[in-house]
Amino acid sequence: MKALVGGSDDRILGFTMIGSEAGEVMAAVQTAMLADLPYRRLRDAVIAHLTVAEGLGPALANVPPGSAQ
Amino acid sequence: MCAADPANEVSVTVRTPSGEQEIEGSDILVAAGRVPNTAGIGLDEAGVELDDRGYIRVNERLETTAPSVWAIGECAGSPQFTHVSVDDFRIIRDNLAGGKRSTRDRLVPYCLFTDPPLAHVGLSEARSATPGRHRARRAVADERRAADSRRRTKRKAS
Repeated sequence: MKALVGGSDDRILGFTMIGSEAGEVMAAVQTAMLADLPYRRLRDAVIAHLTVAEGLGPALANVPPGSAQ
Repeated sequence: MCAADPANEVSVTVRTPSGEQEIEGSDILVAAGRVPNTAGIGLDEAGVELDDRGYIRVNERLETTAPSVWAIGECAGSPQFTHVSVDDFRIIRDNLAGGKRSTRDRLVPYCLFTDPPLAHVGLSEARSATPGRHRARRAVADERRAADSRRRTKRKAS
């Protein structure tokens, strides 16, 4: 998983994934993008275990600090 | 030149100015590209203009240069995905009913159904790095690590 987040705001700008169920995980991120949801809402979401999409939390936890924080 | 063997391995020999190079792999994928099938069907007589590459010229509401004629999908130059053609249809349907929908700023995802699949939506890292774009932050996760963690949890649970 790879996510691009705005440098001056917390919006998700892009998402790429290679792995099982990548298209399904992408739909969750796309929904957040359409809603202009700050990436932290998705990062902190409680996503059901045992799913591929639960990897979004740890992935987005790697976003480095930006000027929005 | 290409050779296949029963072990499901293929090799391709590429002739380049600097000599031959052999590439080995499991499969060969050929991307031949597509051209719009718009020539010789009388579009000019109907007043429907094409662009330099043969795509039907449309505005962002998918209206052609002829009044009350719309174009949809690949032949109108839309991104070549089934889901985009479906969205083109929805735009025309709603505009026929008096709406003002357009193709501008739509978020178009794609999924390549390789094994494992590749999915992408929005800006790519390369595009975000082009001059004039705002600075972006990047987060990377290793799916293999996530899968290992899932397997460990599964083992614990069983």
